[in-house]
Amino acid sequence: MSERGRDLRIYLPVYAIVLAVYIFAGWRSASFFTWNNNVNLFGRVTPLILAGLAQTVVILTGGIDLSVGSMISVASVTAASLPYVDTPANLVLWTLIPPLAGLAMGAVNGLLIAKWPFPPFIVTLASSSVYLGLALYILREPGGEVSLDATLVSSGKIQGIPIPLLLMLAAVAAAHLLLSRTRIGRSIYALGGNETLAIQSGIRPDRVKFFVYSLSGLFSGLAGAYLSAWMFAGDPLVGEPYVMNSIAVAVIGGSSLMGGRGGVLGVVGGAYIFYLINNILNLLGINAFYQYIAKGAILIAALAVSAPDLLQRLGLGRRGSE
Amino acid sequence: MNPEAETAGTPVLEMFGVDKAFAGNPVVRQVDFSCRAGEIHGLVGENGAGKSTLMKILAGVHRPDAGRIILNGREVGFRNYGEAREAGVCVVYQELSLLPQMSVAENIFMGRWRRGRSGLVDWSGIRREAGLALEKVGLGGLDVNRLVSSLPMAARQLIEVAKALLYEPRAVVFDEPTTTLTGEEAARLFGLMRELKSQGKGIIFISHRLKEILEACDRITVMKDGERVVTGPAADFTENRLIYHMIGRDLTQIFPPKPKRLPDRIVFSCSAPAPGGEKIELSLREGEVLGIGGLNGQGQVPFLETLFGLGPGAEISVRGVRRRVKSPREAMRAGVTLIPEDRNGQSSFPILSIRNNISSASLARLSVAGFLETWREKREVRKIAEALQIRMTSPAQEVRFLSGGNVQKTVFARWLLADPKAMVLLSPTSGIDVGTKQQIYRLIRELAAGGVAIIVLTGDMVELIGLCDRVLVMYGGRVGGELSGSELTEENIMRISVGRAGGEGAA
Repeated sequence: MSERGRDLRIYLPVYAIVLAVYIFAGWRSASFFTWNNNVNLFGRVTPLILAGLAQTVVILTGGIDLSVGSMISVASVTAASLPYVDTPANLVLWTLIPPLAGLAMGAVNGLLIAKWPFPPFIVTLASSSVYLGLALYILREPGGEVSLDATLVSSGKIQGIPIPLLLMLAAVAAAHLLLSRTRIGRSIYALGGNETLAIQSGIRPDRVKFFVYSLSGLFSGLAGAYLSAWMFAGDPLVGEPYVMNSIAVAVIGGSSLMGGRGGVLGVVGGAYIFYLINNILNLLGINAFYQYIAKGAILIAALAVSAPDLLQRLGLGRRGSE
Repeated sequence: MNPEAETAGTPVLEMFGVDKAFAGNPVVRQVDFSCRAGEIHGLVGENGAGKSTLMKILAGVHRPDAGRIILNGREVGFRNYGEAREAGVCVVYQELSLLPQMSVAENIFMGRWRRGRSGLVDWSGIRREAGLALEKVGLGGLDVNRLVSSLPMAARQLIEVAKALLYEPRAVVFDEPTTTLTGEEAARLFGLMRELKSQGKGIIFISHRLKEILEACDRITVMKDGERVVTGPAADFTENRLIYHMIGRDLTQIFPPKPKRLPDRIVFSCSAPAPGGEKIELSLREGEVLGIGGLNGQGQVPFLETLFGLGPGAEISVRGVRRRVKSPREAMRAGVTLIPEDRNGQSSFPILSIRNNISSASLARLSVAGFLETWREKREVRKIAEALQIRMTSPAQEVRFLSGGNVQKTVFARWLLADPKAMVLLSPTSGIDVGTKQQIYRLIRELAAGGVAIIVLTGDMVELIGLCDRVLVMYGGRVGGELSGSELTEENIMRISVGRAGGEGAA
């Protein structure tokens, strides 16, 4: 089996499900296939994709980042607190500061996890609380303002192509290139595959961990900035659902929570599946509590499908016998 | 118990068609085995030949996948060691089952606390009976209140026997009991075994010391790769014939020839703190393979790991360049690699592809400005995989799908690709088949001849003697002695291993 074959095995089911869900949605709702609806859909899925990228790079090392949601919130309220008069200088500020805030928060996580033997679960759970407090300190309730130029990020077009689409493609491509073609990318997989051996191979786990948690912060910062552009405002609680959703997207996208296996190419599909199923449940007029139950069930189903060893143990899958 | 009722020669114990596999790997295959009353039956085979597993099945530790076990003419199916012991099968293990911080009497009666009329443990009764049990194994007069930790290994081994005899067994398995004993102490143990034999018990004796086996046993069974190769009267065998059956060929054919003379050029030297306190200094000449021997846990692994920059680190000199290494990275930069022992696949990345596994220690060399040159990676990995004859469907295959021997080859490939100048190998052939072993021995020799300094840690005597030019035997965290040339014999290695370097007793 070639590497391409292996990628296919991971990503094909994801995109097959996307297609199935997509067709189902179109069948239920006549307006679903319209260009406008899809552009709109894209605008809504993009932050989920960014959060999924943030979570995936961490999960590949065998870690987890529970502070993704709070970092998104901080970036969102930061973006909405910046000067909003439309000047080029302000646009630059808006473009740089929220992602950098995310990067800084991620770097703190990374430093704690790299330098001390604390489990990432606990460190990011704690920092998540700190960052949430920070978001609420900056902005007590949803509000603030975002410059009109900045909102173009979520609603503008270049040559007729929606900017969110370009942004998302650029982020996924960069992350994929990083993981598959660079030394640090390989080190991420090695660390997730077997930490002891990674150290013996001359890889420095502290550097890799610092790197992935910082990168997770950066992607979360981008997601937060994007959300503020989408809403024309900041919201200190906007990131909350992204903790679980980002984990779901990473796992549905084919990455293993044990680390070492997966990648970012499935994240787009994972985000689409997750968002569309929500959307369909809404369209069908299903009660909110059923939606929560459905979301949890989808996550568990995704875990089962993404863990071939589990299926083997249950006697459902073929044995890996090549 | 009525020994007269058991005529010598009738089987106490029989096993028919016993099969056992772990995770799909057969370790015991269709084995028939029997032990007669009043017989000492020797069981020999290489590490991993299935002897210990067979005995664990007998003792109820493992359940067989197939086959029957008959004890005294009755079919049995033990679910645990306790049941086997009650039914009359006892095992005296090499790794002693005594608790060092408890007294002799407590150890002998461990788990069988006799209670007095008050319902409390009857200590005076236990001490008295422990004394009697000790007399039976020739330890009469030993204070039963002494802590086991204060006694020499030989006495502990006998206490272990005393404990087993308390259950009045029909069959006693001695699983490498002499590994830690000197010749004299072992002779005493053999005397005891003969006495048990004369009482009509069936004795099964496992040992790697073939001389002992030939002297002590009435019959011998040889196992190889989980199968019984041959069973016959001890008189029909010689040491060489046993080895031939154990490895399936003559010993001389499995190891590549050693160089007659080594050049004086030193390619590697080091000075590192040893667990025993003082520093160990050693140097290797070009083409030399240095073996590290000794019983398990004498500080070999911690010492060798310091050469790789772990723990306190070491002062090393590679081809004349001296430096201090304090981390694996620094060691690798200096050209030193360490191949860890493969415990449950710990030495590979099971879920990563063969290619990623092999290149993982050479990422720096294979990338430019942080970006991997994947074409170069592919080419170099393919070259080395072909040289080592790794059997795979493609380099993109995940390592967990490979067989044990092939996994070990990918491990070698990883460290070879890193272009080492010195390699430390920890038990490089544990758990792999003879064919692959032979390839690895040849590879080690070729590397040494190419100027790579090779240090091999192994618990396998045959390997130390057959593969290495020189052997350091460690004892108690220090170098107990150094052997080379004609002094390199099992007896000498063993003597130093148990701390009797100069012949005078240490215990």
